[in-house]
Amino acid sequence: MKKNLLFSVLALALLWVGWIIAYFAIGNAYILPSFWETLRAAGLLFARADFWAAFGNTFLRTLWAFLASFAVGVLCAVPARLFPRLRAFLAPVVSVLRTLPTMAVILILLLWTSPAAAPVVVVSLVLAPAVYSAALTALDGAGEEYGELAAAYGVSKKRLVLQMYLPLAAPALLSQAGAILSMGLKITVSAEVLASTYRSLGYMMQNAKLAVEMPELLALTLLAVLLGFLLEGACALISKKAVKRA
Amino acid sequence: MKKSLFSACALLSCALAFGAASCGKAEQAKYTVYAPDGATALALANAISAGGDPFDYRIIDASTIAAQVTGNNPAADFCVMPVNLASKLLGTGENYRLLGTVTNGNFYFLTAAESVSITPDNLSQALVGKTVGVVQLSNVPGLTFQSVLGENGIPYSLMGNDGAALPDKVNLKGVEAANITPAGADYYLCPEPDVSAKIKGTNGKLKYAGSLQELYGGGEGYPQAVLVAKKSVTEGDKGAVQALVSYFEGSAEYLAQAEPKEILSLLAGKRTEGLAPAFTEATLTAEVVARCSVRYTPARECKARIDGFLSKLIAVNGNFANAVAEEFYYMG
Repeated sequence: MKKNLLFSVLALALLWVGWIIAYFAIGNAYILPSFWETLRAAGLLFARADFWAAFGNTFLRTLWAFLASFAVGVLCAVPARLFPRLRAFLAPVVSVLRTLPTMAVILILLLWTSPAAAPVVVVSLVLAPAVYSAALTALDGAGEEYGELAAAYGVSKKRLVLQMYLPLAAPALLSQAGAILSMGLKITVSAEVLASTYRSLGYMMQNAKLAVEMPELLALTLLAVLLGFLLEGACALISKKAVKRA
Repeated sequence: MKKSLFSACALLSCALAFGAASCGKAEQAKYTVYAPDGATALALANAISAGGDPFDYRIIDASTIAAQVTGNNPAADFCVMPVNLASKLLGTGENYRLLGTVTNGNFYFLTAAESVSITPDNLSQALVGKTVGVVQLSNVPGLTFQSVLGENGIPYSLMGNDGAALPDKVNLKGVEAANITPAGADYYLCPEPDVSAKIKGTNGKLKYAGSLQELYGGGEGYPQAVLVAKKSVTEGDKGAVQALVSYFEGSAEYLAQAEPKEILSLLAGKRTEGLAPAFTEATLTAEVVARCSVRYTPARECKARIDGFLSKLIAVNGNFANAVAEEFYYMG
C-alpha cells in the first residue's frame, strides 16, 4: 500500500518537473505560465468570495447531475437486466444519448430551463448512459450462478433484485462511480461556458481567458482537477465502506 | 608568392560570396503579419491582393493571437489584434509599437420585429426594464456598452442565472451568438456576420435595431482592433512599415469595391490549415463587409481616441485593459 502511494506521488512529482521543463522550453508565459505564478494566482483566488461561490455552485451542479443520472441509470438497468425485450428497446435510446453533441441540445435547454439548470441537464444526459452501461454490466455479472437456483425455487423478481442482484452488483458499480463523477465535473465546466452560466467555474475560466490572465486560468483548471481527485477519493471511500457493510 | 596570391583571391571570393548572399537575404527578408480571423482579417485583404514580399500574412484563431506577440522570441513582426489585448500585453512600448487602428466596431443590436430600434436619443426609454443579451459581455463589446450606459446615466445590472429582470435598470446577460433566438431576450448585441445570419435564419423575426458604433462614437465607432509592429522593425526598416501601412490605408477603398468571393479567396490562402473560416460565401456580403467598419487611422491621429477608450474600459472593469505608455505609439 505504502509502495503504491510512493509511485503515485512519484508520478505527480514527474508531472510537476515536466511542467517546469515545458515552461522553460516554451518560454512564453501566455502559453504556459510558471508553476509559481499559478500557485500565486491560486492563492489570490482563495481570498475571493466569488471564487468560492463559483466553486460551490459548480460542485453542486455536478453532484445533482450525478445523483440524477445514477438514479435514472440504475432504475433503467434493473428492469433491462430482467426483461430482454426492454433491454433491446433501451439499447438505441442509450446509444443516441451517448453520442448526442452537447451543442445541439444546449440551445433548447436554455429556452426551457435557465443558464444555471442547463449544465445540470446536459451532464445528466451524458452521465446517465454511462451509469446505465456500468450498472447493466455489473448486474449481468452478478449472481449468474444462482440464477437457475432462484428460478427453481420460484424466488420473486423483487426479492431477486433487492437481495441478490443489487447487493452483488454494488461493488462493481460503486467502483465506477468516482470516474463517472469526475467526468461529470469536466462536462459541467464545459457546459457552463456554453450556457454562459453566471457564478460558475466555467464562467470564471472564460473570463480569465478573455482577460489573458493565464496563471488564473491554469489555477482554476488545477483546482477543478483537484476537486475531481477529491470526488474520486470520496467515492472510493464510500464504495469501500459500503462493500464492507454488505 | 603564388600560394599567397591564390589564398588572398580565395579569401576575397569567399568574402564577396558572403556579402552577395547577405544582400540577397536582406532583400528577401519576410516580415510576418498576423491577424485573427473575422473582421480584422478583412483588413488584410488589400495587402494580400497587392502581393507577398516582403510580408508573410497569417490568419489565425483569435484565441492564439496573444502567443504570437509574447515570449522570448515573438513570431509576429506585425500583428492586428484587439486594442484591449494590445494594451495589456504590449502597452509599455518595450517590444512593440502601435501603428494605427484597423477596425472600428462591428457590433449591432437585434430585436424582435415589434420593438423599437435603439438610437442615442431613445437609449433610456428603449432599454430600461428590458433584457439585453450581449455576446462577449465581459470583453470589449460588453464593456463598451456598459460604458455607454454609464456615461448616459442609465443604471444597468448584470443578470444572475435566475433570469429575473429589474424594472428600473437595463438588464444585461452574457450569451453565445449561437444561442440567440427571438424569444431569449428583448434585445441582443451581436457581431457581424452573426447579426446578418440571425436575421436571415429567423426569416425576419429578428431585425436590425441599431449599432454600438453609433452609440459610442456617433457613427465613427470605437477603436476595436489595432496594428502593432515590433519596435526593432519600426526602428530598423521604416520602409517596410510604410509599405504595410499603405496597404492598410487602402483597405477601406478596396473592400468597398471588391467582390466578397474574391475577398474570401484571398483570405483562404492565408488561414491556418484546418481553421474554420469566420466568413463563408453564405455570410460575407457587401453589406456585412461595410458593417465591419474596416478603416485605418494612423497612431498620430487616433492616440487620444485610443487613450480615452481604454480609460473608459478600465473604469468599467480594470481586468480587461491597461493604460498605455506614450512610447507605445508610433508617430512616424
